[in-house]
Amino acid sequence: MANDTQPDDVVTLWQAQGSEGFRMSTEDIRKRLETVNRKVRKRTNDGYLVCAVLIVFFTGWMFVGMGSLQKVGAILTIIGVSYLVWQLRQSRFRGAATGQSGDTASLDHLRTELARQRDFHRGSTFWRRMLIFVPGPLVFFAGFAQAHPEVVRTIRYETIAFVVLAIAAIPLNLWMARRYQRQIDALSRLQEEH
Amino acid sequence: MSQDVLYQEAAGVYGAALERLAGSYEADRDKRLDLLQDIHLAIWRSFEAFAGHCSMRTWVYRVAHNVAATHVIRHRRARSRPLVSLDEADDLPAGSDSEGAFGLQQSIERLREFIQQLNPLERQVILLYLEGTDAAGIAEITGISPGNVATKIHRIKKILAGRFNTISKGERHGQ
Repeated sequence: MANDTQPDDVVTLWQAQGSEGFRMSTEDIRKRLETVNRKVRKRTNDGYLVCAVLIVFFTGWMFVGMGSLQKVGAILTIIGVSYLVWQLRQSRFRGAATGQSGDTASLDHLRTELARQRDFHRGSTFWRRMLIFVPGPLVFFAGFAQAHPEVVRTIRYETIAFVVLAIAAIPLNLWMARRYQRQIDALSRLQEEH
Repeated sequence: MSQDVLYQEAAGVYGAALERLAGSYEADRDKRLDLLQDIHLAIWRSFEAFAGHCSMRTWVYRVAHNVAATHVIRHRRARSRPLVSLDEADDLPAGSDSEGAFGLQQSIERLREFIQQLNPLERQVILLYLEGTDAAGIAEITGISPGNVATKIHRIKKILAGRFNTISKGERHGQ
């Protein structure tokens, strides 16, 4: 019986699917809420832990007889990591504030999600991240090379690799931002009448 | 009405549709259950702010699809194939058994697999169409202009007729 299916038949088929009768009691919802909150807390705490380890590591370096240039590098890196902690806290509060609402049409919700991802890859958020993270390790490398001339060759390669990666991050992030922007533009076109 | 009462009413009326929705956004069984629970939780939470400016149906579908769309966006890196629009849907493989008749369950599975390859907004339009929502309702829920919704529905009908043309008559009438 090929080639004579009507779309309405598919609609009927679709709605005739068996249901497992999934429901959640108030108690189930409370438990789920706890699970979700626990997951969010764990993810944030993992982020804090990584930052804490880095801060302790670079602070420790400052007490083992480093030169002044190395100390400046370590301080800049600590500032960068602290900024990351601050961003982590901000995104946590923002995440809690932007809950799901039936007042938001799907298209607007999608656009907000995409804009959030786009802004991570461009604009002040991105450049601030670059400015805060790149100078610290560079100064630290320079200070290390100054204090240990015997390993200057290795440090030079590490510095070149770091600079190449930092420079490559710029077009890559801007390309990602453009990709998100194209998707946002496509969504906006869907709101316009022909 | 209290948040709990509104939620229980919504779960009773739209529970089956929400299960179908979760099944169309997530293929993995465990993740699907997770998604379904997240949707129910979001609906319960959202009713705290429900003021009746739109129908419960619009409200529930908006919240459910928004949660599911976020799920798709966050898990996009785990997918092997990129998501496509309805205009690109013709390029998707039709499946090995497209020339023969197949059972109800297989038809549903094929349809679900097809939907899972669409991008979130197109997926939402086709799901709302399959749930029997009219063009005005789809436009209200999604925010897409009525003209664009009409174009998409036309395209969906064409795709459904073209890709799912081997369902036997008995199955079509739910026997």
